[in-house]
Amino acid sequence: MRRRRRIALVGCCCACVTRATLATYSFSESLTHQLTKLVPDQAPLQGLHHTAAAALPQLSITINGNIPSLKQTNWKEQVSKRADGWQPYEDNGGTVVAVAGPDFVIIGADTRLSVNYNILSRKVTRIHGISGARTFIGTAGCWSDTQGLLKAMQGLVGDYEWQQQHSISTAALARLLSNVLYSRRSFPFYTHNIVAGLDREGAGAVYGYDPVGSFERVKVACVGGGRSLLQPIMDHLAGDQDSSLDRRKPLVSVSCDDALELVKEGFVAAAERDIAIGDEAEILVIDAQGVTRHRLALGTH
Amino acid sequence: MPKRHWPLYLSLALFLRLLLMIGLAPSRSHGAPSQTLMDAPRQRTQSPIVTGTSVIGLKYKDGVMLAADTLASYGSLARYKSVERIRPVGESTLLGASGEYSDFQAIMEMLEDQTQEDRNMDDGFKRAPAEVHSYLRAVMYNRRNKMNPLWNYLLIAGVNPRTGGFFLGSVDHIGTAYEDDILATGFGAHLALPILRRRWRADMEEGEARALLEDCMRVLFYRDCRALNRIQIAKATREGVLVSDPYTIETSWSLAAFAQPKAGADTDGSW
Repeated sequence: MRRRRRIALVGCCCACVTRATLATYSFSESLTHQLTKLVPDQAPLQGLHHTAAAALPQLSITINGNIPSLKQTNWKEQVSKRADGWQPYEDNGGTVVAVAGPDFVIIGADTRLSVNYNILSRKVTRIHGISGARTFIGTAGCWSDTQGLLKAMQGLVGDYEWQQQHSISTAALARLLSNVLYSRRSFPFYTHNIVAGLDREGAGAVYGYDPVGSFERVKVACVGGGRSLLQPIMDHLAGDQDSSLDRRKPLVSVSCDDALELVKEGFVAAAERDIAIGDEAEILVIDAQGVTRHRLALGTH
Repeated sequence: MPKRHWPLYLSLALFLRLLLMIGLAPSRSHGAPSQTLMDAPRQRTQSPIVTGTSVIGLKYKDGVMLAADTLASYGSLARYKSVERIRPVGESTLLGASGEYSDFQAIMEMLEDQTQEDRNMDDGFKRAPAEVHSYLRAVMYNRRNKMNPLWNYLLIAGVNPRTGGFFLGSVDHIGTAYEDDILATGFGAHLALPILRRRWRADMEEGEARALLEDCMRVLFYRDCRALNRIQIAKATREGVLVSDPYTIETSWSLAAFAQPKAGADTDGSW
């Protein structure tokens, strides 16, 4: 009997020990699991825990189109810590100007593509027609972002026109561009844009943008490197009045030819004083009859 | 085995289970070693290691021509002196790359896959150089959006197999894409482009175009510390593409500029 009791006692002790060990082991496992969930920033990048990955900003785009998404980028994490580290942006120069009149709109831009003190090309076009309609987007700034933005816009406008079975209006395009720009609020398209076209009543409509999509319909708009040189000249066209009627439908009251002359003189003046502006200015006049292209030679220096 | 010894059997069973758990348990550091133990391998590269220097190109009367040297440098070490930095893509396109050589090899793999798919389709489609240019722009731009660029400055040259038009375009590591009649990457943009802009004409014969490119490569060898005098010239014409064998260009170090350098004299203008 005694022997049996001894065996039973030993057996129970063993059972207790192993159960205790097992319990501790699995508890610590789940503790680690818990810790990884709570502190995603410290999880090693390679084995990023599922929950931690979900904690990163989900910035994929849900509308149709090919806007480059940000699902795998944490912008803040990846920016180099050195001030002179690699940046994904480059300023390729460019200036765009547009004027809205009662039955016309003028949009012009220079054709020089530069980076720092180098000229990459003397004949790029910064004014892009969207689909078949007579609305144009003029873009200055980073050229790679310009091309990425335009690809996205062309895809979206193509979808819109296929679904709606009519060409997109200037106001709708303006709103669309603003939304596309804002969708990249955390990794902006480094682009300064102008949308120019005729509105539904046939009057000129010009919208000016900042890089993240803030926009406004205006009489005259200048964006890009030569903005500070050209805006004061263009303001002569805008005039002093700004009544509430103006704000809803801002239009200059000068004739198309006068406005075109001032735009041309503006580019000549800007090319004199800004090294990034030069080579040629491409100016489009859009009215009910169609689109006329003017080319103005600027210095190649 | 007597049934009355069931506590012993129970404890033995549990103990065995414990041993199995420990033995087969996944390692605690599943996925990656902790950052504190060793540096995790870099997954996004933002600086090149093995690099090629300039590539230059121009359009001429019968087509498009590219030139590049055959050096891949490891910083200041001239490490691989016989690499091909200009390669054909399909039957109508040439691709020249400066920058990180391994990224160029990755791009060539992508393009060779694409060319093979074209062949497999077997529908008579001939891919134009402008289409390769457009594809590479998208590749480079999307990689830069993921903050993991392919560190190359590419020149794409060729003749459109359907229309016969000549194409010369450039794409850089952030996706800046444009076309022109004369192009150069890297140091070539500083040293060769001015020469090309002065002497280029649209109706140059092949010999003239080649001599102009060789002159530019010679100047680059004189003044670019990461250049070599062994070069390759490639041409794309309506008949197809051809990349020459590498050859050495002659240089003259007895020029006055080298024999009697002005540096050090009072009025030489250098600092």
